[in-house]
Amino acid sequence: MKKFLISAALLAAAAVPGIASATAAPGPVSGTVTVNGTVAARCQFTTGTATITIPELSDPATGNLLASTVNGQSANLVGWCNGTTSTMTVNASPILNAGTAPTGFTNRVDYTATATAHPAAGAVSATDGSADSPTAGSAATVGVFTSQIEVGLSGATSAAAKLLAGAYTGQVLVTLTPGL
Amino acid sequence: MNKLLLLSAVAALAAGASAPAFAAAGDAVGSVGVTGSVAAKCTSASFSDTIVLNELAATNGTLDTSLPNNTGLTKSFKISCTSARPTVLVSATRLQNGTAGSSTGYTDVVDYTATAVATLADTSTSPTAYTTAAVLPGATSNHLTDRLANTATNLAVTLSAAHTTPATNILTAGSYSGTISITVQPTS
Repeated sequence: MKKFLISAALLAAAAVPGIASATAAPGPVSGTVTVNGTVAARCQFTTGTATITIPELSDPATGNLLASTVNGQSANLVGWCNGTTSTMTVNASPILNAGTAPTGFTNRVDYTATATAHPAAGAVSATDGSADSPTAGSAATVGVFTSQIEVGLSGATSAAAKLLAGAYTGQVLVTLTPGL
Repeated sequence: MNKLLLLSAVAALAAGASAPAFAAAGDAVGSVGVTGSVAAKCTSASFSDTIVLNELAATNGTLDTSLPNNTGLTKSFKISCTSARPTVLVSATRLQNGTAGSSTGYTDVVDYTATAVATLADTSTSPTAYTTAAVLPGATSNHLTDRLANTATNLAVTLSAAHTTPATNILTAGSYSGTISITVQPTS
């Protein structure tokens, strides 16, 4: 009878929840802290302006445009984009004189502007002709890049007329548009 | 008879003696020993959180190391350990842009230091720091000198010293994510 009583007491102790949990397998506890951040797509010019100076546009023999004075001219910008779908567009405005040209004269020189950036995968160019100003040219995908952007002029034309004397001004607008 | 013997046994336990004074000659006396144990273990009701840094780049495209857009660089937890001197292990992964590949002059990773500061029962604090790198080092281990404080929170995880290499690299656009892993072992 004595033996029976002790056995019953041990069985009762094993069934107590508090005792069972206290003898659970020991172990460490692990946790995690997730760190999240974002970087917005953006583009920036670190050198955003340049000037191409053409001392004389006209042919000294005829007074008409001497295209070679424009063609081949270039200037350099410097910029970058950090998004893979970033694009570049060019919008060329004609080289104009502010005066009114009488018959037989012109105050406008048109041309094509080409901007070339240098992503790691290879050079990317965007072009635009000034004849349809103010319409910009097609966008070219430059993606992620940081480089010099060469802006070159070519294909200069004008009416078959003499250039009006005076100062001429045009503009090539290069736009970098960020994209993820 | 059975009932009588059980009552006798309970009475003997209550008295805490193996030879109760009231036992009469001829009584059968039984005893039941009661023992318990507490395993060395660490637990936590909630041991995960997120540090949100938001925009990482400065206006020039490089990392703004002050992380000005964060919503809190420290996350706190309560860890319960039954052992005398728990061990804290900390490791982390670099903040990585999951979509973009980097080009020359760019980077898509940000390194940082993760520090888990334990508050101990003696009110002192004990930091365990881990800094990410291109080749991730092994977890940093810190054998605490006392029990963890039994307070509302006793383990604070902080992100600091965010940096890119070199610092002039521009961050590629996109979402960045990393993970700080902390393990508290019930060592003695």
